Amino acid sequence: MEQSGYSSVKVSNIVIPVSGTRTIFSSSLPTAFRLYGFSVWVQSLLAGVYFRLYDGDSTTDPLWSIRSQSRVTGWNNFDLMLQDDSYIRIDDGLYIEIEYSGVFTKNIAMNVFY
Amino acid sequence: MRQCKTFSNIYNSTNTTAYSNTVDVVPSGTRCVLGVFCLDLSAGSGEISGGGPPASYTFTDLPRVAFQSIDASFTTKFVVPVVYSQQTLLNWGRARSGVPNKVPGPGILFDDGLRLEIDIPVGDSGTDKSLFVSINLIYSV
Repeated sequence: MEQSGYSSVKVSNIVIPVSGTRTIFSSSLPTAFRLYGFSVWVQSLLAGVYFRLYDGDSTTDPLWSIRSQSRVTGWNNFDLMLQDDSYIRIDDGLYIEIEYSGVFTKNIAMNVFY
Repeated sequence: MRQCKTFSNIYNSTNTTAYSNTVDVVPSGTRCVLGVFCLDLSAGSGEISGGGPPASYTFTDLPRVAFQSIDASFTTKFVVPVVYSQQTLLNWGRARSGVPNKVPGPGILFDDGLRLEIDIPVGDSGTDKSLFVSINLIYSV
């Protein structure tokens, strides 16, 4: 049972989907929830790769979008932590999209705080 | 608890054409409070050779985003330059992160809408070094 005032965390290792398509972050995460933050780790991002988060399997109005530039081997990390009194409401499931060209087979590890 | 909305998009210039545009995030007449802004820069073809845009770090030469009210004169509340958010030890590789800037306290009040004025200079000529600016905002209305 959740206790008021605390976050839950869901960890997922996501296989990169086909470029430009969405995949759900985790099937065991509720469809509707309060998003308090996330952390993303990705290995060897190629230049020009787009990372996007969506509320639902949408192609418009991403929640978050970043374009990569790194070509170094290693893990890149970025995150978002909302302030204590704030949250983003997710209604239709949290989806991830990676847009890239060529071969890109790395996985993404991601934590979601909710 | 405060339910927030997000705004997220990526804009770019090319190696021959600058980008300059405005985007209404929150319509005129609506109050909103900006809690987090995250602006990030990347270049079209990477920076393998060590150089790369922006060529100048003079404020007015950098990509920049002005946060404005949608009043009669589009009053600018503040302007943020957009730079690489993280640089690795090797000059030719830059990890992409996007540093969220959390506004202290309850946030910045925009009492008459929120508009972004986005200016991205031309990237380096000769190669496809267009400049990409990602903008992520978290706000409440």
